[in-house]
Amino acid sequence: MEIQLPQIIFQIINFSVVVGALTYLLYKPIIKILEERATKIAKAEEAAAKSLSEADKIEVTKKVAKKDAEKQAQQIIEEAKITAKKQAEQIRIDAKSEGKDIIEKMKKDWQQEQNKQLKMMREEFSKAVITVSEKVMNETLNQKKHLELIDQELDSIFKSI
Amino acid sequence: MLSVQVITAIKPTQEILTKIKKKLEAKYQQVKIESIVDPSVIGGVNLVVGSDSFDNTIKNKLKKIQTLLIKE
Repeated sequence: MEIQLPQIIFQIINFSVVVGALTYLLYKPIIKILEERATKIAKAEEAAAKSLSEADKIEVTKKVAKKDAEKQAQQIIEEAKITAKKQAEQIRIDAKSEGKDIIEKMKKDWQQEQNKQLKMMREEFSKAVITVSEKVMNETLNQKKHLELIDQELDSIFKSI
Repeated sequence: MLSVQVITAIKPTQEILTKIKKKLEAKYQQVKIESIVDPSVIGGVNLVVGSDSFDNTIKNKLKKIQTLLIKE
C-alpha cells in the first residue's frame, strides 16, 4: 500500500474542518450551557445559603424576642406583686388608723357623756345640799342668833374694808 | 354723803345700825344708812357701800359652796 500525500493532506484538512465545525457548532454551545447552569446552581446555592442565614437570624431574633417578652412578663408580674403588696399594706395601715380613730372618738364621746352625767349629778347634789341647808338654817336661826350672826359678819366686813 | 344699804333677813336693831354708821363715818365722813329686810338672804348681812358690795349673807355663802360643788 502506497502513502499518498495529497490524500493525507486532504484527510487532515477534512478532519480539521470537521473539528472546527464541531467546535463551533457543538462544543462551544455545550460549554456555554454548562457554564450558565453552573452559574445558576451557584446563584441558587448562594440564595439558599442566604435564606438559611436569614432563617437563622429570624430564629435568633424570635428567641431573643421571646426571651425579652418572658423577661418583661416576669417583670410585670413582679411589679404587680409589689404593687399589690404595697396596696394591701396601705389598706391594712388605713384600716388600723381608721379603727384607732373610731376607738378614740368612742372614748372621747364616752368621756364627754360621763363628764356630762357627772356634772348633772353634781348640780343635782349641790341643789339638794343647798335646799336642805336653807331649810335647816331657817329653822335653826331665831331672833337672837340672827342678830349675833349679823354682828359677827359686820365685824368681818369692817376688818376687810 | 355716802349711801349705804344694810340688807338682812330680819330687821336689825338700832344698836347694829349705829355701829355701822360709826364705823363707816370714821372712814367715809357722812353716810346715809338704809335698812332693807330680805328674808331670802336667810341670815348674815350684805353691806352695800356706794358701788361696793360686802355680801356676808348665808345665801351668798351657800351660793359659793354650790359653785364649788359644781366646779369640783
